[in-house]
Amino acid sequence: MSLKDVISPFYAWKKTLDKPYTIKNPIAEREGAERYRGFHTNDVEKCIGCGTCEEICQNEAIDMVPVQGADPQRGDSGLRPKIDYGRCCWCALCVDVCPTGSLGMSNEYKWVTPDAEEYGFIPGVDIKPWNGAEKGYKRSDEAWLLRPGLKNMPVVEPEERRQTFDEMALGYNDNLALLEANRCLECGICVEACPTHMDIPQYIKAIRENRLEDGLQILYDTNPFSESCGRICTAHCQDACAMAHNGDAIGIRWLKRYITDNTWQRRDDILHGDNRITEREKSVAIIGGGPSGLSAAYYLRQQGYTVTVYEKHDKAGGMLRYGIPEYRLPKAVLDREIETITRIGVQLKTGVAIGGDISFEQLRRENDAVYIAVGAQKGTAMPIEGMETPGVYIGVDFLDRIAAGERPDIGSRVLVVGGGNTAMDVCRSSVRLGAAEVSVLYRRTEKEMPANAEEIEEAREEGVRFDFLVSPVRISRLETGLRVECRRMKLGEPDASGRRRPVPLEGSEFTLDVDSCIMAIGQKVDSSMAHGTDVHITRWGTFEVDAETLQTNVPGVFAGGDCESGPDDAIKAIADGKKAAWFIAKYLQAEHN
Amino acid sequence: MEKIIFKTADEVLQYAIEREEEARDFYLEWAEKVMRPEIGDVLKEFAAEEAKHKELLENVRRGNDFAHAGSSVIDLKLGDYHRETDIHHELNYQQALQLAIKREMVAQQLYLFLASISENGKHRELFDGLYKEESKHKERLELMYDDDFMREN
Repeated sequence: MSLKDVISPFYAWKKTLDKPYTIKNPIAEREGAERYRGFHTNDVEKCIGCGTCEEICQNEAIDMVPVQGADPQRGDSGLRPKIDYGRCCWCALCVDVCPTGSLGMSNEYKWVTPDAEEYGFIPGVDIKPWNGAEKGYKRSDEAWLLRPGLKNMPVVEPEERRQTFDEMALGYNDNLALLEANRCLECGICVEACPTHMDIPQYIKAIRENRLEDGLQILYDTNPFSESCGRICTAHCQDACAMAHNGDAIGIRWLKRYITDNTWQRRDDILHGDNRITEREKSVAIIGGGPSGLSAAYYLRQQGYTVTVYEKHDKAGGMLRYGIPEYRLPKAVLDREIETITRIGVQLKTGVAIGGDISFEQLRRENDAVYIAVGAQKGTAMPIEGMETPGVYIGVDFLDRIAAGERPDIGSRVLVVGGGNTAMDVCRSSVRLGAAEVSVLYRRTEKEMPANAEEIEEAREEGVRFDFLVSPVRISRLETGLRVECRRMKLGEPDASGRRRPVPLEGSEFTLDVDSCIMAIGQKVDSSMAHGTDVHITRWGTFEVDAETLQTNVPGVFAGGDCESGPDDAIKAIADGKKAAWFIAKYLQAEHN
Repeated sequence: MEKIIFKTADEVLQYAIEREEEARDFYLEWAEKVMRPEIGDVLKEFAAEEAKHKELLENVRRGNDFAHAGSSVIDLKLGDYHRETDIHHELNYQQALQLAIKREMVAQQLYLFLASISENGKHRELFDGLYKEESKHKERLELMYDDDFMREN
């Protein structure tokens, strides 16, 4: 036994009198630092269930799960993250990537429980003392792993584009497309928002991986007008985009265009190549060669049905051709998309009006099913004095004439009445026709305008003036031009529906002297081809259908697009066409059996 | 214009009731004449509304107040600038609403006029009440028109 062995017990006892180096009860007495990465918090109202946290977690510690009280809805999957603390390493990548900033970490680190299963919990849903904690680690702008800014689509400058109907958007180059595609989180929230449920994350992924041909096939699975939509779609997907919460939505529309810009020359080979269609005996007649009718035709023909599209105009395309000006959608683009459809064997008969050249009943007799897709191409007129005065035009008729190659002489001072996309197309076309002063009158405020914000902004850039809370009440002829009597409005108290209606102000009358006045206040359906038949039509002139199948009250007769819903956007019409194809095929197969 | 003289409040209300019956009969007659059955349904709805107005007036005749006394009316004045719309066999929904709005305006103006020339205070009150009723009817139709035909304006 050494001297050290003899002394050490006394040395140990001496230590009992010394002050301890550690805290007696460290958990209660020492709070986590202000930005300590402790247990997770989640603002479940802000959370959209995109699953980006699950995706980035290197330890697979996060699962997206359904929770009570969070129902799936537009822009929200209804799922919420569940964290497994047996796997979490507290790195906070999930917090730094969160697009909405809902996910955070408290500075709490004490959690004692005998039940190991409890260590998998849903922040913000499962009740914990640190829910809603102010302190802890929250995402900062500097630490955010995502790039919030959109790569803007190059466009022709306003001064140059106001002089021409040439296309104004120039398209992404390879670099811009890749940079923009890299911003996509692949969360898929956009897919539900798209009326035709395009597989957006997959085609954006195809861009990143330089597989544009695959991208094109993904586009055409759900939308045979992807090249047009890449220019004019209202992009509900972008409204729902996860990135739009704290940054700019992904430029989904422009990315779609990038794929079609780089593949259109080989499109038929890529999509149809050597594919042979297995012919079936049944035939389908489609009334209306617009986006809805042609989409239905495309998908029905792929299934082998004999499909004939009847279009009353000289050319097919519907509102894509006759309602959208060239500077937004070049006719050459539309023509080649239609050719892709007719090349697989869809028969297209233009200049044929059903109800005039051929009766509706004859079509029904000669075909196994009929799809009505006549759109809503008639302009709504204001029933005020002077509507028939020369120099007064209806918006859709005006655009129709321009699409047919005419250049109406509208003079220098043009008044456009209305606040929708048609009014924007009309006022911007008027600028291109050489009008020096183009004004838009809208009865409500800018906030209520149904037109796309982009369209309004571009119209302003091109010199269009906007006058809100004004309505014309009478039009009369002058020696040269028109006198338009107007009244100013104010927004009244909310009515039973909560809307504030525009109410005329007493004594606010004033006049505007102009060369032309173009009314773009709405559109309606011309369902006259079915008058006198047994197909049910609503008071608004639209076709009454089963909401799920799009079938009318007459078996084998379906209707979709604007003629069913009233005026809406092109993507909705395309979605209806695809849906109708599915249900018509189901109907025909049931009939066959 | 025929001279209208009312001796009693009851006569005033009887006059108004007959106007509502006239309107109801007008809509029912044309509901059978229009080409489009869905527009026939619209006119039948208008007729049913006129029948409700008649019931309302009979209620007032029994000594009760006007149902909407005191409530405010939103006057969009859409009908004030509409051209006259004649009824015809090919009437569409927009025209049907325009027509109905104009008819309510005529009724409105009639009661306003009768109130202005009435020397009897009680009758004047009744005409004011009837004017407000017609204003409510016009408001309802103008809101429908605003919702369906002024969406982009």
